[in-house]
Amino acid sequence: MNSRLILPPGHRIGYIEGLALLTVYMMGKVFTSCPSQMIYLESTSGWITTALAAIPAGLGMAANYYFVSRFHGLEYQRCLELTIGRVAGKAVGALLVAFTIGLNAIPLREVSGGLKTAILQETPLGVIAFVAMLVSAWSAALGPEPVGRFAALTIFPMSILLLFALFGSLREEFCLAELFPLWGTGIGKTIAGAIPCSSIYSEGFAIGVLMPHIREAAPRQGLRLALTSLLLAALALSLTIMITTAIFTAPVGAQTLYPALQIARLIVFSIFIERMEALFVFAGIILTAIKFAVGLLVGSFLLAGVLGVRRWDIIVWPLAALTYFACFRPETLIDVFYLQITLFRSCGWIIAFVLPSVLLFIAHVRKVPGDRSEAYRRDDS
Amino acid sequence: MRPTAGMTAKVRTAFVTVMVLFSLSLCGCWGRTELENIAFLALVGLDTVQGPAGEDLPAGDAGLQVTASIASPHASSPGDSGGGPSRRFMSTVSVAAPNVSTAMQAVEMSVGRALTAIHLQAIIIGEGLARQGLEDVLDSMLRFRNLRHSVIVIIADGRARDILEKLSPTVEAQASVFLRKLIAVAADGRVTRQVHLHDLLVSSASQSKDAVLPLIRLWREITPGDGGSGAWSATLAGGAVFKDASMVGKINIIEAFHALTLRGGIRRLSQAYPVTPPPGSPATETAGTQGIVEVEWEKGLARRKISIEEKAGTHAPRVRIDVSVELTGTIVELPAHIDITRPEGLRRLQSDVEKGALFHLRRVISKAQLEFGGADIFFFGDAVRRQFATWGEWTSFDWPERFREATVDVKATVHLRRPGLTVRNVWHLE
Amino acid sequence: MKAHKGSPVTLLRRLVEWLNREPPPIFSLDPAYPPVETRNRAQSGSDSRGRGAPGDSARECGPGAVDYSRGIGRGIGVSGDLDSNLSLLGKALHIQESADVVVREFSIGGRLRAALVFIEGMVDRRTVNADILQPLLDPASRAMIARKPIVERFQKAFPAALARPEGNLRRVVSGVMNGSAAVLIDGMDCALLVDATGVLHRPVAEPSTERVVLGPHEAFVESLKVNVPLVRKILKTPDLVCSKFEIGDITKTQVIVFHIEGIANPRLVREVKRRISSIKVDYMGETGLLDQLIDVPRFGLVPHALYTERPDRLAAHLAEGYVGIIVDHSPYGLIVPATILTFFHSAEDYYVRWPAGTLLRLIRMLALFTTIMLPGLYVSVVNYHHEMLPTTIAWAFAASRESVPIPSVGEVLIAEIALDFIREAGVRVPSPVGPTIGIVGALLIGEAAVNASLLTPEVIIVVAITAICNFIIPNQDAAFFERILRYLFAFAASLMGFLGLAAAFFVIGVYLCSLRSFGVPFMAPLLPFKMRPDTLVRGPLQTMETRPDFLRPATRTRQLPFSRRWARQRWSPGGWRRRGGGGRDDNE
Repeated sequence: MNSRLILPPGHRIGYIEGLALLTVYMMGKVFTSCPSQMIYLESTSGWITTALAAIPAGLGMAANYYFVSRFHGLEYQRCLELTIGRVAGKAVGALLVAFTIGLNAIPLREVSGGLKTAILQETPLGVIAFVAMLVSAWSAALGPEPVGRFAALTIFPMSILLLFALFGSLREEFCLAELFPLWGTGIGKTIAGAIPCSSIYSEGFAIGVLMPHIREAAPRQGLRLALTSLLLAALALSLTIMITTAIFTAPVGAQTLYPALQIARLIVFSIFIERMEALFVFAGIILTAIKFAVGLLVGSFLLAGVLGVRRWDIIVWPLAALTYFACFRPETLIDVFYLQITLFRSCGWIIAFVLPSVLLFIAHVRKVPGDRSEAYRRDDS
Repeated sequence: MRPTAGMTAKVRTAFVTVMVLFSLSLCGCWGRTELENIAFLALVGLDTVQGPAGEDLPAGDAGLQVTASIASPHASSPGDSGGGPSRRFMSTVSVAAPNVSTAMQAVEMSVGRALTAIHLQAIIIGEGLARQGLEDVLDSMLRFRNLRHSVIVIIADGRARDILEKLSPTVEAQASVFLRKLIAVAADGRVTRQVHLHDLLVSSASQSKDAVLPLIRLWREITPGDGGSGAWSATLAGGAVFKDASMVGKINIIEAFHALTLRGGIRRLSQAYPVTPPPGSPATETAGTQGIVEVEWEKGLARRKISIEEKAGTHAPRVRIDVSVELTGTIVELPAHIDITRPEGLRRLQSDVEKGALFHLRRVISKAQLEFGGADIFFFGDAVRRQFATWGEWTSFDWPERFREATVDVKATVHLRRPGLTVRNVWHLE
Repeated sequence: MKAHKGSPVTLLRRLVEWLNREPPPIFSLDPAYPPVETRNRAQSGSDSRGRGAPGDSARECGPGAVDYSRGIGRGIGVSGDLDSNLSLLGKALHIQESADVVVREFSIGGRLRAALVFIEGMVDRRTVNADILQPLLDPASRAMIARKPIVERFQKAFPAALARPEGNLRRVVSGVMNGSAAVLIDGMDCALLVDATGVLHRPVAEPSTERVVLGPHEAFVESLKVNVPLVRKILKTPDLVCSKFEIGDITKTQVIVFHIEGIANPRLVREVKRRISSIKVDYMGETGLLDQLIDVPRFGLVPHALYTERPDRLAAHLAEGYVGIIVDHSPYGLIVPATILTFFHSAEDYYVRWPAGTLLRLIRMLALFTTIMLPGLYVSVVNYHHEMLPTTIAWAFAASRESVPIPSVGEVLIAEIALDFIREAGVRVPSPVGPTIGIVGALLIGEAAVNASLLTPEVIIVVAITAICNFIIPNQDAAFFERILRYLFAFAASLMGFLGLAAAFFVIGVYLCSLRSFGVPFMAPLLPFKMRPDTLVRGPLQTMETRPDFLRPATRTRQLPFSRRWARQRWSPGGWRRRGGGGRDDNE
């Protein structure tokens, strides 16, 4: 940046922007993939299973937060290296980078497929994915500050639009009791099921990677920020799931790809403005572009740390290219689902829960102190 | 900070060149179609293929007869009076094909423009095909974005092709608009409901939301000597009852009204009920042995109480459904001999209307249970479903069978209001 | 082993070095700013009288720079020899070639030789004759010579209010070029610069681009000497500081930087002055040029400073903590820093009641969205998302497009470009012909194009609405930015419909969020979000108690929490009293 800053902090990426970044990152699932699987789970699983899935997600997020906050603002990669040694830290960092690439590539594939089905049937999948990755990489290279501001600027109207889409297709016979099977336990079960969905693909560790870059996130605020993001994203997912279940009924909703999109197709606002799915796809594209930008930021911070280079903004571009090409590795949609289920559902909870807990334990046992003099620390002067 | 901050001029030039080269791949405008290159599908009719003797052949073997009504406003240029297309721009094409997609392709070949169903007004399904089952047909319709889930579905009393080829409404310019408005008016009066493709899908998958689709019948007025050349119109003949994506029977308008009343909530509709004249009153020759009272229903509430009884020694639980219907209406027409200023007159009238309403309510429930094989067109099962936490438990309860065997007790309470600006008619001024 | 220049090892080493350079900071390094409510006496700007005038002492002529001061060296002073001074001045002012440079030699009291040097047309003749020549040619002046020191004598001799001695010959030249008359006296080692500016200028008139119904109707003119008092008469506070700078080797244009001491953030003021004082150009003719020279980044699409031709608007912004800049020969002032919302606020918003002000702003927001997105929305709906149109409209659009051979994208572009042609022609057309342009434009594009099947009626409507909404935006800079955006969005929509629109919206949005105007985020106060009664809506005046937080003003509070004290008073036989007891309250 070649303009001198005249006015002081306060316009840096603060609590609100950090909250928006994390929340959108997790909420992106509403438009990318999860709800159909969530509906399937919700309609077949019992109370205990759902709660048991939610607990590790929340604990994992808290463990990540405490692990990073222990090091007084060092970069995540540096925290790893200080805890488990340089070589092991690099290895784990590389693993996390690969995981991040997968986290972005699979939704990119799904979003592109959904957009192709919804609005651009003739456009090649590669072109749609390229546009999404291009704009996301460009914005990620600008830094978390403008992306966080834009996320905070758009999250409120987008959420209103999303809620309107979700509630806009209610039928005359719709009864509120549809949302409360077993006389009220349904909502609790749905939220508890949505929490792991928000972080079962390890968006939870984004709090650890982004936390050093979120100013004004003093230790107390940092944990509050993490939990607020989790709850907001879980709420958005829960609403999607509940309304989808009520409108489509469980077996139909579970077979529907991108339920938010399907619900938008049912909306008829008035005689003049009809057929609103394109407008809600507009909102979905914005949200998912922010989600990919955040994912690229997380990945580039980690990769810069692993490679030992300082220009994380340059790293964004090759990482975006890697993600783009990785998203076509699954040849068919079935492969995509298979990868989602085997890789993320089976291994995601390890990244989300086991890894940060183990790291926290090791850091606590070894009494590893935070190191202020290292070159990788964030600018704090 | 710019994304290229810190790059030297050469590196930046190389970077921008690579990005521009990649971006050139974006300039394809795939899928860009101008409006004048599109043929808009206004109505679609689905029938079975008919055999030599006029019988309906199985759709799985002989395929479907697909009839498309296409709007192509190519001659309405700026300056002409009126903006929209007139009747002469709606053309009908009918093809036989193994499935809907192949049929649409064949239609496209004959029209010469890209066919699109995004402005489809209604899907008309012939009775023969509806009775055979719509699972295969629905699957292709719901998979892609081409067809909107909010298009209404109508069942033709006969063949859908006849309706599309013959229908020539007198007031509306286009048949598609006429049908849409006909269903809307009828739905407003609560004798039918607008059933969208989405609702049909949900009712097919759900055990407790069986659909009643509008049933349309062609008719025309025949006057002696016209040689059968009068214009064909269409009317609502009642409802087609569906169970699991197959049509299982028909109900008339009165039964449809009472069935929808049991679902909850009514709009304004006038309904005629027979009344018993009081003893000693002059017989009303015009109405036969009984009078007719026309009641305009304004408000209706159906309270349902469903209990599941587990009886020892039986495998399946027994369901008991208690329905109490409370109806409020205004008297629109009244036999002249009835004096409603007297309490006993009004009470007798209310009682007769109650009996009439109960008769229809019980008849339609009995039809649903016995004749239609347990088709829950009253959505009683919705209240039961909320007691099950998971879909698997609900499916194993087998609600259609439980409903078929259920004991249903219906009670009706009627409140009649005195109408208009007069208290009693002029023939009772003593 | 020593690696060769182009070898892979060298390239790899260079790549690693490049990747290991100091990354651009995510957050700017910034020391703490002055605490709130502290009234620091920050350094005031320099003027041409004191130290640090950029035209003189700060000048560093590097290699390749053009030095226009070859006539007189920097340190040359006025000598006591009149002939020598006239000779030097003659060379510097090109007396032999320039017809409007006047040198009037005369003698004071018949004995003392003197000369008056001025530029014809830059000085007021009456001032020169009555206030300079007449007193000096008066025989009584001879008596004064004998009694007092020579400089003091002549200083006191003049009734002219602004007469100052100047010992540096280069500054004498500068003064003459700025409309002063220089009096050189034989034996006196300084010249007397008398302010006799009489440059003809436009009278103060009504603003041409920022018209209001309620509010003042004065606008800036092209003379700094008129513009500065226009601001001074509104802000009658001694804390209003006007710092003068001189920019342009040829033009030596004077630039005034306004700020209110104790309100404006001293760091902001310092940065503005730093940028202005370090500009090295030969020609500075207008505010727009200065705006571009102090703007960052180099290829800025978005304006970073607010233009205004209203002194009241400039004064209002100064009172909030902004910094104002006025350039000589330009009827526009600049207000820095500018945020996105300032481009959509108008002076009239504050002069009307708050519901009306709010309505005006909401209309502008809607107009902004319409003017940017409508052509793109039309293109994407007609080309890609036909399902968005109601059925009857879709059929009507299709019917009207049947006879037009041009794709809808082409139609929109042709109509937009034609409208831009008409707009530009309307600006430059002589006023008697002006109304004809509107009629011709309407006829050409509207009816004839439609009848000739070149355009459809829908495109005409879209383009007309877009143009009208563009005119609603009160700021011309922002309007230009929107015109560019409109083309971008239409192009993006033509490529990929709503995906293109969404991608373009995302890119523009993130770009705007990354911008800073003099360090202030461009999207403030939307982001960082700070609830204020003066953002998207205009709240009641009595609620505007604090200055904008994003400016970090030295004094944040601008009015008491309860500014309408009359509302708290009640009448009693003894006079107006404060409610709830207390003594007599006479609004003091």
